[in-house]
Amino acid sequence: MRKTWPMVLSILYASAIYCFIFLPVAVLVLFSFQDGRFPIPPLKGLSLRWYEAVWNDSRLVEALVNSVTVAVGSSLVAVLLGFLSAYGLARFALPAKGLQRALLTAPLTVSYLIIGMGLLITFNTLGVPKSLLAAGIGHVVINLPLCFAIIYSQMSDHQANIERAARDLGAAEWQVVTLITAPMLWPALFASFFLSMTFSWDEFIISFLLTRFDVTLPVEIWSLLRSGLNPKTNAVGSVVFAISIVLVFLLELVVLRNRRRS
Amino acid sequence: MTTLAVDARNITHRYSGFTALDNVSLTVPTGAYTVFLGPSGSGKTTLLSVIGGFLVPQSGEVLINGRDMTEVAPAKRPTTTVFQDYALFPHMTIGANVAFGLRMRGVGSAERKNKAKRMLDLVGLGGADGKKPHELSGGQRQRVALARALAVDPSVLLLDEPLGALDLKLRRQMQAELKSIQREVGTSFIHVTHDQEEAMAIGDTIVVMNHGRIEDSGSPERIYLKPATHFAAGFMGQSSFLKGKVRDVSAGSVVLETPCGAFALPSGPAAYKPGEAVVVSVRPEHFVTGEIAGDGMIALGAGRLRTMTFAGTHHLGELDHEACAAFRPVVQLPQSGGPGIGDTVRLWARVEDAVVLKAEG
Amino acid sequence: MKMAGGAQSRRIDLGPWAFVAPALLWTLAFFVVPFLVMVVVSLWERVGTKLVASWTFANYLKFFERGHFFEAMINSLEVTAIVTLLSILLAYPFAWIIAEKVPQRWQRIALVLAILPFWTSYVVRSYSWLLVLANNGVVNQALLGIGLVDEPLDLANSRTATVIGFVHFFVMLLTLTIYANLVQLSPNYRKAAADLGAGPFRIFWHVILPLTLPGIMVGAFLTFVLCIGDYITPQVLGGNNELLMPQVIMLQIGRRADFPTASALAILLMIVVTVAYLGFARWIRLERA
Repeated sequence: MRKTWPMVLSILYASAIYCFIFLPVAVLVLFSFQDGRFPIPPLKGLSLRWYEAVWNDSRLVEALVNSVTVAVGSSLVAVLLGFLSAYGLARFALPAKGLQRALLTAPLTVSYLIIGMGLLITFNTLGVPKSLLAAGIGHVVINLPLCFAIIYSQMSDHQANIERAARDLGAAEWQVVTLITAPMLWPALFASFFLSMTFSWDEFIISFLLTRFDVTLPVEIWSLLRSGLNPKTNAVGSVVFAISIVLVFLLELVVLRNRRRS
Repeated sequence: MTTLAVDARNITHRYSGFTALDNVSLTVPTGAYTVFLGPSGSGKTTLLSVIGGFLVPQSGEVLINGRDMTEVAPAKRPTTTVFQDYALFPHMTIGANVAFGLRMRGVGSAERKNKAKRMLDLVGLGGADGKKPHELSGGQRQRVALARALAVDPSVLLLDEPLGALDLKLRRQMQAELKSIQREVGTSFIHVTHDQEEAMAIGDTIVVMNHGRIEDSGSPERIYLKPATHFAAGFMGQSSFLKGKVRDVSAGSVVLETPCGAFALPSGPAAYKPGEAVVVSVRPEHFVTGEIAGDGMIALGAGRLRTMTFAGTHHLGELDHEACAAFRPVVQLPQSGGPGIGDTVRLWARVEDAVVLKAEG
Repeated sequence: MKMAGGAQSRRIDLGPWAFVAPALLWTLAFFVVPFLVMVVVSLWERVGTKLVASWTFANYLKFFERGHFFEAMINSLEVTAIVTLLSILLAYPFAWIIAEKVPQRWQRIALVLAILPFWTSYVVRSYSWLLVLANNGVVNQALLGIGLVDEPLDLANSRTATVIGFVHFFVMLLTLTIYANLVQLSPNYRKAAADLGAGPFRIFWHVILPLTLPGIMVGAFLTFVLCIGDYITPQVLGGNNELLMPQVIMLQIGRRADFPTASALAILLMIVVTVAYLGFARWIRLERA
């Protein structure tokens, strides 16, 4: 067959890249089950003792709860603000719309390090102590532009007509938003919420700069790294990975279902 | 005294660099089916928006049932709108869509459901209340939009090109249904369209619009047979226009000077001055062909038959006129046994069928 | 003619602002103001443990005077350039194989798989590479096992490790953007080019590559921005042998609480990113189409 060679090359190349992509994750997860003190070859047997160690480490568990709290809280705020501003800008005649859109999406182009530093210095100057709340505020700053952009892109003129119909039939402005617009945009709201969750959940540098005693999970893992290679770090890293995957999977499910329907 | 459903007075609205409504005044009688007819950009949809409350005009006022509604929000008006894209709520069932307006008015759940069922029965969709909009065909969605707008018992129902998205056959069928539903509920309907056949088929009154102004309004028959303007004559059905000048004016009639000779025609409601440019409008079926001069007939010269189009019940022939190259008469000819291409045909029209109109552009 | 917006009134309506104001105020208070504070602080001085409003460009001048600041910027630019180039070269064929060789119904799964580790947190991902590249890690053990080397290679704590860690992340990102660009190309372009007599290579060079350039550029810009601003990967994998800008900035904050110097360096880094943005700008559209 004439087409065999390119196909063989393609398969080889793709396999190599998949190996490269999955190598660190595979090693991470595999050696989280290491029945020994070091997460390096040889694998001495499989055990769940390091997961047990994670479970018994109250600081890690606390950090995990903190991370979930910050992720859920900041994502809710980001989606709410993003939705309201997208609705306002898409549906009403406001001055300087372009400038407003530019302002709302500006944080997308600035690195997390600089956003975190700005907040750190500002809070420091004002005497605001480091806290999970401060980190949450930072997470809203990085996720709000995403939520706004996603939701804004989903607001079509057809939907504007649907809202007009609701108003015509007697719905007040708040009823239009809650009964018509939000349910219609449900997939976009859901997608931006879960994307925000994932980003907040994985975010390190802002949390690192803005928290002190109560920290988020990535910050706690960071301090674990100082003890060098340790299967316990593997175990908690695997847990973090698993939770991210669940979030992404949920997102994928909603997007897919929605795509199939339309 | 009969109340007016809508009384619009001196409405003007400009978009940047474009006048959508130019000092428009109009009245719509209660309980009738009114059609706004015009090409796109004629202002018909803007006028509907002004009546529905989606647009506050820059000047002028709108009275609905005798009350000033110019700045009242859509929700507070006794009007509802059927949108061109139907604007059904995609996340609600058909039943919930139809009951939405009643829900907003605080009507109890059982009563709303009942009313929604009755409205769906009215539009021929009984039993569909559990479905979602995306499960319905275009025509069915159209009916749901109608039921939803009628469920709150508006005194005026506004329809914005409601049949525009349907295919021809379905459109003709829906026209008949719309008219019969209007008769049944007795609500005043105002229907916007650019399709003159649709307008003639359903309108009790037709309002012909162009460039933000009303060109003509009246019954379909009147507008077709005695159009008020050159534009109305050309937009409502087909017509051939012979250019001429006014030579003499007398009570109720004018004498015209045309390339086909001079003749007198009734002048209608408009006033003419000698020397004014006019056109004579003749519908294809009003041409009389052959050598049959007689009383009450005007001679319109002769032409060579250039093209023939078969239209089922008859042929439409286009002629090159002998005396006037700018005059291209379109004439209805027999289904069979008539003249053929290249033949010379003599043209006549009865005095009461030819309409004299002020020339435009 | 379309119906105009909501119920437009002849009066001025404050209602719409209620929707937009919360997000605008949030962005102003927690993004714009902190940035301005940073600009102001960058012009101050740290005397002892106190900040003094002395309005000086001294912090910016330090960047050029002290060799290691300048060096860090050069390192950052070098690493970022290498990473961007390598990632594009690796990701393009991969994205192309997924878009062209994988059957339609498996493409989505192939893509989701290809970017799955993308969702591990930065910290965990860098740590994982440390595991792989450590002296007694998987790679060295494998190399020793098959006798390719006699002594373990010093892979971790080097620029190589930093680059590998970065490339791993950005190959996934770029695969995504390039794939998205490839699949939206109409197959008729290729058919038309082939019909007019172009061979596979010329079709790629004259038709496919120019049409996917926007996707490559968007990905390259994202890579540039994220790479040059990242602290974790060089800190975990590069060690302290060779510092990049974010590491130097963090050193000013962490060890010395020298906010003015840190701010000045961060602003310089931002200027570099802005210059890059202007260079890429013609390919980047953040607006909705």
